Amino acid sequence: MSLWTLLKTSYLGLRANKLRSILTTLGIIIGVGTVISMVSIIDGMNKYVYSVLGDIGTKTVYVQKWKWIIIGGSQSKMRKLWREVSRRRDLTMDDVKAISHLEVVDRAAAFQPIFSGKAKYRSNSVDCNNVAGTDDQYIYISGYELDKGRNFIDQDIQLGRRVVILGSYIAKTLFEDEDPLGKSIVFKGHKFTVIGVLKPKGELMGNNLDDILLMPVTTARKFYYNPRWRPYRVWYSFRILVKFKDDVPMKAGMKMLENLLRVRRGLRFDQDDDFALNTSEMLLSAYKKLTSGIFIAMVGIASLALIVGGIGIMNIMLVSVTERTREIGIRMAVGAKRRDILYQFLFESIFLTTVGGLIGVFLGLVIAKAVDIATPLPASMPIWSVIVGLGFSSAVGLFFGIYPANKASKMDPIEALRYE
Amino acid sequence: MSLIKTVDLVKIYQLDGVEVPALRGVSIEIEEGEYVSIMGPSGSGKSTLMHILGCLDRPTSGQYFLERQDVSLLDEDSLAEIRKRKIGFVFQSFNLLPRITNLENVELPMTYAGVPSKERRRRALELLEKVGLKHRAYHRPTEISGGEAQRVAIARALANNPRIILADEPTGNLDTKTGEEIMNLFEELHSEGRTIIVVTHDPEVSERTKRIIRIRDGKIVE
Ligand SMILES: Nc1ncnc2c1ncn2[C@@H]1O[C@H](COP(=O)(O)OP(=O)(O)OP(=O)(O)O)[C@@H](O)[C@H]1O
Ligand SMILES: [Mg+2]
Repeated sequence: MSLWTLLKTSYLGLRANKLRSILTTLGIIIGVGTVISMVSIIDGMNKYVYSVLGDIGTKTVYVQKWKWIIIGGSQSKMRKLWREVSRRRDLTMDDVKAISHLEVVDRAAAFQPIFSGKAKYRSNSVDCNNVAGTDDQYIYISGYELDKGRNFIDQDIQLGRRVVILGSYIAKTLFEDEDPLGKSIVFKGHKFTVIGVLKPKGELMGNNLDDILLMPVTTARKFYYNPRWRPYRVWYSFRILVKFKDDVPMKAGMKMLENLLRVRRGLRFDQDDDFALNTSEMLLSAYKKLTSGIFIAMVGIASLALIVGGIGIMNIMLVSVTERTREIGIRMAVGAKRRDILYQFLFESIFLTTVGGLIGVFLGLVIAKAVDIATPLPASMPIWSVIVGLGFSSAVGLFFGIYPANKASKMDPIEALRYE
Repeated sequence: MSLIKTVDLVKIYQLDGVEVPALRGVSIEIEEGEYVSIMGPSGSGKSTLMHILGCLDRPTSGQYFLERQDVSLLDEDSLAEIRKRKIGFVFQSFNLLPRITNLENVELPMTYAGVPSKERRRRALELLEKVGLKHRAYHRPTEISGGEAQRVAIARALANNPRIILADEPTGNLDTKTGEEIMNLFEELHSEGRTIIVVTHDPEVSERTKRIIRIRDGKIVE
């Protein structure tokens, strides 16, 4: 029997029980659909995360009081840890200076986050969500560029001048078509002179990167910093951004940095670091760990769905074989060999699961597309997932079809012909 | 040597551990081109004999020579091969596949013989024309009368141009007139030189054949 005839025979067999065929393949459809959509979403997530982390710059080290990623630990242990963190000594401007003098360091920038607030210019006002006190190094390390005006200078820092550099979004909202340079704005009750405007940077992870307001670190600490306020001791505590020279290996640079800070903070050799060196590399490896966990869980769910689906297929094929006993007898009488019957039913179950797989792939594609449209994740379907999805569904059809097909082929032609 | 020759065929069925003898030593010979009927009362072993002659079943003991070849020595695949090429079956209950068209039913033996699809279609239409049912080619067996269904079944039996046609009570489910039409068809096939064996217990059917083999309690009588 030719492949084409086999295909047609299978199709006819399945068409006779349309609803049943569809219901049977539901397990396969769900299994394959889940995997395909999840793979697409994870793939999209990967691309997204890599682009984001690439943007933060994997080479920048954030010196802070707390570590970005803390894995494990009970709730009470965590609470204790955070209490300890809030008691730690703050990093200082002197630390910035010392770090910038290290041989391996290219640039170091001070960074004092400030609670967000409203900025006003005449009748216009805007919510500023990223406000910080910093120095002249910051815009270089974080990849901003000046559009007009000037960067901070030493006097701005030393004297704690009331000057600001605005992100393009803030500048545009406050000043519209006016030139902001030299104008005065009011931020949370204090007056500032605009000395610079940054070039637009766009959006990242739902954050508007142009919603930023920078002032000299000394000014920020003078007007807004309140050490008795707990957030300023932890989340809004002073931090230092460090960039090593290009030829310095990350590990070596971090080691030097750590040693310097340990000495400066007077830690004994048996004391743990009371500060942390954070990099986006750490985020990346944590992310990889997380997604591989999700991936394994997904493979488990999918296998379960496929096995359940496969058992469903086997069950329905057994019913089908019994129902079509007479057909089997007739086919044998007109010359079908046992092998022909075996192939016919095997082909039918493979056909069934492969069609289920195809529908599943399509469903996964639709879900991935929906996620792509509805969320910032650029969900995309890697071609290998389609091939693997179809391959597995066919394999399920083959594996779970063997027993029923074998049963069909072993029938006695006369008994089969007599079957009512 | 004859086209068909059996020597002392014995068939014993096992039914719940009890031995049921269906054939107790049947020796017959049928020449090429003969038109024979096998007659006997119900349960005498007619169908059993026909299944063995048609290579659907194997005797418990005895020998069956088909074209001088001892069929009782062949394996299952070779038996399927013989059924496919040399034998055409016609059953009392037609045994057409209800889900496919009459045309496809006639094509069925050819698909197993590996006949290319165009040739298959051409020959199937030709055969349906021969039995006078070309206009029913694209209907399903469930949409035609019993007499028409039996003619489709005969067309199917002829698909691979077999030398032997075996019919088990072909008129059993039909009224007298329709039965006669079927017998006319067999006569026509006989005149073309085909060997035809008809199992029946209807004397009107057996009268029209050239030779009658009588069987009783699994034995040939007289
Ligand atoms: N599969 C079987 N198992 C057990 N006994 C069987 C089987 N097939 C047939 N027999 C028995 O063998 C005997 C001959 O049966 P067979 O069907 O050949 O008779 P028949 O002459 O064709 O009868 P009918 O005219 O009613 O069709 C009967 O007694 C029947 O009960
Ligand atoms: Mg019978």
